[in-house]
Amino acid sequence: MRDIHEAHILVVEDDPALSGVVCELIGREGYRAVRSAATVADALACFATWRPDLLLLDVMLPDGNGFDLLRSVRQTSQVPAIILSARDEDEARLRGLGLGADDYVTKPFLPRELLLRMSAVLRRTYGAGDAPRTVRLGATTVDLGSGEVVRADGSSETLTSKEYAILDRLARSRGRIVTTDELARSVWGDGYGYGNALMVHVRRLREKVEEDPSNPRWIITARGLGYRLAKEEA
Amino acid sequence: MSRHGLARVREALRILGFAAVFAVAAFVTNVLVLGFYILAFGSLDDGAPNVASAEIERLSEALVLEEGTYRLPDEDIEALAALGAWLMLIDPEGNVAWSEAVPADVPDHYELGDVASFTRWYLNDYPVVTRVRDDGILVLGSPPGSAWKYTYSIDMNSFVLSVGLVLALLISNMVVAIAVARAYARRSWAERDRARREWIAAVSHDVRTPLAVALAEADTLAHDEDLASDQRARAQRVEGKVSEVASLIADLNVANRLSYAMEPVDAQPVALAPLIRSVAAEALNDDADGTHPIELELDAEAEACRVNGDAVLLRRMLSNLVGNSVRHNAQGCTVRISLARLPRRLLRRERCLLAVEDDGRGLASDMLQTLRRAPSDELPEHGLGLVIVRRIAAACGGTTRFSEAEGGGTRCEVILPVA
Repeated sequence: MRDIHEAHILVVEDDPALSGVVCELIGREGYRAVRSAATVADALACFATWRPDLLLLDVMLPDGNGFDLLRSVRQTSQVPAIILSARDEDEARLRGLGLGADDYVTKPFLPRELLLRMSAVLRRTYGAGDAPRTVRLGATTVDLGSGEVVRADGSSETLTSKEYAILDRLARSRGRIVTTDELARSVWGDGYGYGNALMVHVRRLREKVEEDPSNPRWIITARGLGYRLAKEEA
Repeated sequence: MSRHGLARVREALRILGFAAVFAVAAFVTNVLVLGFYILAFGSLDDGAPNVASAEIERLSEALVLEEGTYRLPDEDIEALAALGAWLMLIDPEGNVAWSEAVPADVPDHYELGDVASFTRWYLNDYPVVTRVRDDGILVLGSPPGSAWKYTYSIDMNSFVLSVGLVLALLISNMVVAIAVARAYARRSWAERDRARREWIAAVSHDVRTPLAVALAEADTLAHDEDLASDQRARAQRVEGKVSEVASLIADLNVANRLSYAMEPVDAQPVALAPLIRSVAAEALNDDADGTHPIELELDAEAEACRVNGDAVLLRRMLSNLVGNSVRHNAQGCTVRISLARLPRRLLRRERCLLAVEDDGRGLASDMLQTLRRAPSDELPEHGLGLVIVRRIAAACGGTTRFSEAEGGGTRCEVILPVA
């Protein structure tokens, strides 16, 4: 898969209104192949013929539940699944079953939260097969495919893997504060005890992308919390 | 039979079952108490001379000596004959002085020993009762097998002990009855609690799916570039309100889970500092116009602070606290969150103090009163969010204190034991 938007996505949800709005949402986000199923039987039939790349599973279905469906799917496939549940208790149950869902979203959810989680799961499962994205920071552009920074004067520089990971995480939540813990998790896989190292990498990243690194215009510090990648002004 | 009818039959059977258990328990207890009593205070069977019945008293008065001859009225003779009974008077020497319908096998002379024996037991198998008169002993006999002669007597000491025994039995049966009734009540309360809990869970489940639809639709409109900006703003307000309802449902669920304590808190060491940052970042991200800045005070010690609890619940507690300050101060306020370890006290677990404070307009005094009262199982009519803060803190072994901040806003302190 070159682009996560090529992924086949199967929405299993018995409420037609929710199923409709979720499919529409996913479609609008650029995912081209989205189908829905309202029952376990429909879902299994669709799974056999259409080979989805991601499942969005409601727990309570008219002819069974999402956990059993996931269990039977897991016998033949490791396709990623996001559980959409209307009950808080389901998360504990899911953990208890050890079914290995890739994420868990409680209803009601914010649409952009669901989309973010979907793209995170897809990217994690199918590698960084996301279409090469570029981040525009004023006159500077960063190619997130190659990690190359191109400045207005034509000079260019490459980001280190850590700097790349930081910018990528910030760019995915552009305009929103990302906490130091979350940033450290995306860079080192663990959120604890990397505060100073993170500061060092952020400083180097700023030296590469900011015109005035000591007075940053793009990578803004949220004091005590984390960093925010400022949105481009329209 | 309808489901309702079946349930009633089941309930009736259950009550019968409990009653049977109670009866058996009471009986066993009574036997035990009786056994103990006999062992402790000895036999109750301590005989004493019989007391003549009312019948022989009447006959004794009716039998009179007239001109050297004893006479009994005719109706009494008839009554004796109808019953097959007989009557005789034994003089002080032991000879029968007068008799009526006495069977042939009854002797006409008695020694002291004979008298002592029949007064208590039988005279030649005839059950008899006696009455002592000035001129001798009147003996009333009944046909053999017509009465079970039984002498019951009790000395004063035994009588007092018997009253004690009855009281002891009564009290022990009452104790058993209360124990059984309590067990029954507790079971039915537990069932009712479970039913209520499941009902709330079911309602909130059913509410969440339509809420998800409403939220998604409102969000779609709010980001629809084809709409005019005021229409988008309107959709955004709808989205905000739907989110509030969603948050209320989540609070209700947490309260539901905590108040009936059916689900023990899934306690694990949770680092508070990242949780605080995450909640603060979320609140700041949602604060588009920047009217609710958040200041954090986390020193190195606080960074390392872990408490035993459920991360989801602790997060809910923090976001409720921050959300409360934001919601009650729409015009804007600064929220200050601080976390510090408390000095260790002798024999006490180490604790930390989490404080969330704002410089807004503060809580209404009645709400403060409610929050200061000891936690009860009843949910308040409003202000569910802060009550849940208290419940979550309690579930993690902590305490809360709500007060007025120095600048007039609200201050909430949560003290939690360090893991």
